[in-house]
Amino acid sequence: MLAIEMANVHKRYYRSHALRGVNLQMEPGKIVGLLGPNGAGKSTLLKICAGLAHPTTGRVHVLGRDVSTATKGLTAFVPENDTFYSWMTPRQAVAFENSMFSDMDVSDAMDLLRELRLDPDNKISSLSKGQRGRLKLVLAMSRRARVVLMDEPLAGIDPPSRAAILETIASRYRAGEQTIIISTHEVLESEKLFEDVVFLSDGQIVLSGNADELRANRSKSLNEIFAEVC
Amino acid sequence: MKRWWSMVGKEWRGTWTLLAVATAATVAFDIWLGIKTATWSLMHMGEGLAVGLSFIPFAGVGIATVVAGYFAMRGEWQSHTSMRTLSYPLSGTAVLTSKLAVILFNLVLVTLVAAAGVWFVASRTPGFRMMMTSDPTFMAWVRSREFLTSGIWVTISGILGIAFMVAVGMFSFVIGTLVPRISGLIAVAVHVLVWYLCFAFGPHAMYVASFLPNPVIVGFDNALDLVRRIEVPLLPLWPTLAVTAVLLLVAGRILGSEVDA
Repeated sequence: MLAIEMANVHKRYYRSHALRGVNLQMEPGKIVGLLGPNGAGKSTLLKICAGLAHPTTGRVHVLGRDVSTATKGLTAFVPENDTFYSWMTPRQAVAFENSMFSDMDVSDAMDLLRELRLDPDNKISSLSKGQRGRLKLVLAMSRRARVVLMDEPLAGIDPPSRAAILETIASRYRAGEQTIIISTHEVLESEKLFEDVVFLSDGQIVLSGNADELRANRSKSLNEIFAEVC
Repeated sequence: MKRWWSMVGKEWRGTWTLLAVATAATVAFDIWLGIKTATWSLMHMGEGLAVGLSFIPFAGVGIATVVAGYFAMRGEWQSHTSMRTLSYPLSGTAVLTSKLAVILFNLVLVTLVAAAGVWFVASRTPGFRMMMTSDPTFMAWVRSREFLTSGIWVTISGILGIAFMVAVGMFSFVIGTLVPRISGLIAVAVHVLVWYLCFAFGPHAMYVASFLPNPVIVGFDNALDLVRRIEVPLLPLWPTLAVTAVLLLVAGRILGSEVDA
C-alpha cells in the first residue's frame, strides 16, 4: 500500500494555480524530501494530504484511503505557521494531542521535551520561534503516526534549533513503519536525511526519484540538482 | 466522544476570561442599580426605571448571540489555529457543536446572571413588589399549576433560540470561507438570506409543526377585569430545532470537505 498517491491533482486559488496536474506515488517507510522554491506548491500539496485543503480536481489517497477524518488520525502534520493555542503550556499541548490521537505516547513526548530543552510548564505564548519549532516536532514525533507531513520545519529557525530538529527527525524516525515527508527549500542542510526526493516547481513535479541514484546519475548534490531544475 | 469533550474543554479555556468579564460587568451594573433604585423611586423618577434599566444586559446577550458563532469561527482562522483544529480526527459537525456548546453555556450563564440581577433590582425597589403582587394577571400566572412547566419550556425555547442564532453565524462563516477574498461579505449575505428565508417560510413551517405534538406555555391576560387563562402552543420549537440541526450538519459537512484551513 502506498503512503501517498495523487492522480492529476489540481489546486486553484482565486487567481493562482498552486498545483497543476500532480501525479505522485510515495512508497511507505521512507523519508521523502519535497523540494522546491517558495510558491512551488509544496505547502498546498502537504495540506491536501493532511485534509486541510481540498483539491480542485484530482484524486488523493493516503495509506490507500481517500483523505478523510479517518486518515487524519493516521497522519501527523507539522505546519509552517504557528498554530498553537497560545494559552497552553507544552505539557497541556501534549495532553490535548493525547486526547485527540490514540497513537500519542505521552511519556515519549515528555522525554522529547526534556531532550529538546523545553520547559513543559512555560506558556507557549512566551516561547521563542525556535522553541515553538521544536515543540511542533515533539507533538508530531511522539506519535506513532504512519505518515508525518512536515511543512518547512526549519524555516526561520536559529541554527542550533535547526540542528536539534534534524537530529530529532533522524533519531525518532521509525524506519520501515513510518513515512516522513519534509518540504523545504533549504536543501543543503537537510539533504542527508532524504531517501527519496520530489522536486516541485510552479505547481508541477519536475523531477523525482531515489536521492542516492539522482546524486550518482548526475554526479551532483541534491542542492545542485535543486538549483538546476527548480 | 472523548475528543469532542476535549475540544469543549479547549473552547471553554479559550473563552472563560471573556465570560468572567461579561458576568462581572453584569453583576456590577445590577449592584449599582440596586443601590440607586431606592433614591430614584423617592425622587419620583418612577419605580420602574431601575428595573427597566436592569434589562440592558439582555440586549448585550442578544447582540452577542447574533455575532458569537461567526466570531468563534473567525478567531480560529485569524490565529491560524484552524490548521491545528481541523487536523484532528473530528468531523466538521463535531468541531462546530463543541464551539456551540461552550457559546451556549456562556450565553445562558450571563442570561441567568442578568435575570438574577433583574430580580435583585426589583426586590430592592420600594413599591415594586407591591405593584407586582397586586397585579391579578401576574399573580394568577405565578400561582398557576403550569408555572414551572411553562418556565421550563420558555427556558428551553430561549436556549434553542440562542443555539439557532449561533448556528446561523457559524453557517454563514463557513460558507464565506469558500470564497476567501470576500468571505466577510459572503458571510453577511448568507446571514441575511438565512433570516429572510426563516421569516418567509417560518409560518409554513409552523403550520406543518402544528400537526406535531407541541408543548404549551400557559399565560394569563386581564381583559375587562377578568383574568383569563391562555394557552400558547410552542409552534416554532420543532422547526427551529430542525433548522438548527440542518445548519450545523451542512456547515460541518462543508467544513470537513470543502473549506481550506
